[in-house]
Amino acid sequence: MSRFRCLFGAFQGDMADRKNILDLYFLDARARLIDIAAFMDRVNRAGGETDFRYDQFQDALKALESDQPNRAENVLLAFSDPTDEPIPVATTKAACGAWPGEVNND
Amino acid sequence: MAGRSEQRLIATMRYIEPHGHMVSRTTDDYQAMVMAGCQAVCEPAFWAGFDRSSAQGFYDYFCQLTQHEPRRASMFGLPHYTWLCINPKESEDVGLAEEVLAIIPEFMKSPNVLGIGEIGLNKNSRNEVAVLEKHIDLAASNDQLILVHTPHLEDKRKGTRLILDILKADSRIKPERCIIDHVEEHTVRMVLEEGFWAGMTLYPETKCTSNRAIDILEVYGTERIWMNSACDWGISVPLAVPNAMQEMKRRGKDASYVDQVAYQNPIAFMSQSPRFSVPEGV
Repeated sequence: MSRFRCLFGAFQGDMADRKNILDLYFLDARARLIDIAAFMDRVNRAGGETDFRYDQFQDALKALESDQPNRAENVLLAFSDPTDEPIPVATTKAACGAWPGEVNND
Repeated sequence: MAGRSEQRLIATMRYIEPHGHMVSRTTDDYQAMVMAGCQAVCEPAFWAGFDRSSAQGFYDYFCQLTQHEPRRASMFGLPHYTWLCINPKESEDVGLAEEVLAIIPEFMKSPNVLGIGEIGLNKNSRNEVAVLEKHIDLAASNDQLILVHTPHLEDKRKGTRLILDILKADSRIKPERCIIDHVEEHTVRMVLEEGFWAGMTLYPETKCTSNRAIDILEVYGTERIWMNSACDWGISVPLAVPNAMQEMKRRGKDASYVDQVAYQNPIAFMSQSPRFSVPEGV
């Protein structure tokens, strides 16, 4: 009975309460974390050249170790273009999710 | 906040889809949105997924946005509003952009046009900046609201910063008449702190998930912020807003909180245009 209460009976009351947040989102977050671990294992098994996207992915993971409540912001910043000036020319319309570095097309 | 009688009224969900590219969607989507409580849909001009070959292609698109799509939406009892521009994805060709900008004033007279959008940047190039400035001038010269697209993924932080600086550099622009769309955790603060409205786009993979959008609301509050599906021809969910509303309820938000974000806030922003009418019958 207590297990069922844990799964289905806890989504009432103060949602600022940590237990309620965990009751609501723990299993989903756990599944996503395992997916990330499996993705990293998959990349390892694949071998091949290093890739800036995966390098930044590993940097972004460091944001998760922080105890500050802006981890999502820092993960996004880890993948972001840190420069401030417009680029000379757009040679593609697409974004790939990680910053490939400055392109000199002046 | 809503009173008790209004709380009862909004026990069933109502919302406005403030950013949906309905020309890409089917009538099934219209049907589902209306059944989920959608009271009005607003459609910014968008990139077609391929480059249009001439200004005439945009002329036809603007006819679609101002004439055909409102009729299609009306088949479902749904008011349809639109925004006009050449999308930043097609702004690298400044010559084409100038031709398109020249035909926009003709369509501004249409009764469902709320303003200029979705303008902005895509790859943050010099030509994109030049075309953005031309759009801002067009909006300011004609007292139009502005809806801004911010770049994707790795380009978003820089692009958002550039866009805010460009808007602030034009003294005619009032931040409260501009919405900066597609904000995420690393851009929402700068947008709100500088007096602009912020839009959160709910996408399955990029931009915001429902849960992250609700987190942002919890951290930054519910003033000057809305959420939208930006449903288009790509991977996107036309019911993303009602899905997020449901998630808000699961997280314990009361009906007036949900109504504020999904219904009242879009009305508050878009009512700054005399063309926008509060939906009837709700």
